[in-house]
Amino acid sequence: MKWVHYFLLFLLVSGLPGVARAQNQLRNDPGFVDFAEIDRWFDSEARIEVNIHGALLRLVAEASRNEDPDFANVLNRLKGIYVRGYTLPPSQYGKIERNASELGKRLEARGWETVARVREEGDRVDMYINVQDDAIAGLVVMAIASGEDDTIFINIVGDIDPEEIGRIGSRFNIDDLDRRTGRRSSRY
Amino acid sequence: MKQQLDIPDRDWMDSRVEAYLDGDLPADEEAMFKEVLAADPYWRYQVDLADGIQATLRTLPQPECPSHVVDAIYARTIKAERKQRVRDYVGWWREVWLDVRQPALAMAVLLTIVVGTALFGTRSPTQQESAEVRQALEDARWAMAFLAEVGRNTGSAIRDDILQEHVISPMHDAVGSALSPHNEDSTQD
Repeated sequence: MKWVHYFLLFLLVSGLPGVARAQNQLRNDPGFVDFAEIDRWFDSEARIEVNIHGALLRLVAEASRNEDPDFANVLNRLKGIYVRGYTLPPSQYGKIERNASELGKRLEARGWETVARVREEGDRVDMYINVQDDAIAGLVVMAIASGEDDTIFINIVGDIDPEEIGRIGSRFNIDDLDRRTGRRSSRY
Repeated sequence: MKQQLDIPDRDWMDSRVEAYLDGDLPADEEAMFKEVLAADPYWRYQVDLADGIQATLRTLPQPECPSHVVDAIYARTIKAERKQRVRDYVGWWREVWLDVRQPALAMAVLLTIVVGTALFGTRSPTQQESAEVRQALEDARWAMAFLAEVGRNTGSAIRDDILQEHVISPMHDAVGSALSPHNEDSTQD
């Protein structure tokens, strides 16, 4: 009865692509930026890795619907939330900054717009958006901090309303969330 | 005379009378049987007697089996046939089951998980929030809070070109208006 084994194997194998399908579909989305490249910049693995897309994103939206319908509506219009966070030794700050600049140039070459660029001592923030048909389809934030603060890269894919994100995001206490999620966000 | 003709004994002849009348004897035996018949009136008499009995039997009316008996026999036969088929089927399944029970159980568990997730996992996530969803929710909140924080703190440092009015200003204004009193100090930085 080897067919049964083959059938089970087929079920397992056919289920696996479904997990990666959501991200694969996003790869061609103009608002998506592949963070795999960023992983290679650092000697150590990402301290924070968030990949919320597809069914998980819908579940998260539904899970928050009763408590916060506005937040659920924002999430429902998104296609993906990707975050990478690294601890950046001061000695590597220059290298990462150069890599981030190059990535920013490539994004601009692909039609992304730089909307914020902040340079302070030991900190650097770049924000890019991708506009499609007068709507924001992607948002990238590169917040590089040396020392104890995390260096954060965020990519939000989907129908983005900055006003709504600002309004809803401000409701959440970042310090409290930092503590709960074990993160060390810099205050830029 | 029998000895002169070199024929078999009485039992040999006796056991072949019916076959002779029915034409079922092999050619050599039939020839020998006819030889004895021609020479021995006793066996001619026996053959005539047997032929007469056969003819008489053929003329007797054949009694018909009562219809209820026929029906009962048919019913019994069909029932027995069905029982036999069921027994065969069960036996076949038993053999198959012994071979596939472990993979089949694994498949059933897998399908139960898949169907259960499809039916209940998406319908009432608030009730069946997995740790993964809770973590993702926390991550999504953190990402939004982080973006709001960046938007608020970079509001004064952004470029003045085309997208300011569409992106940072709305985010900046919205954050400013929604800030709680404990955050007001930091917004004035």
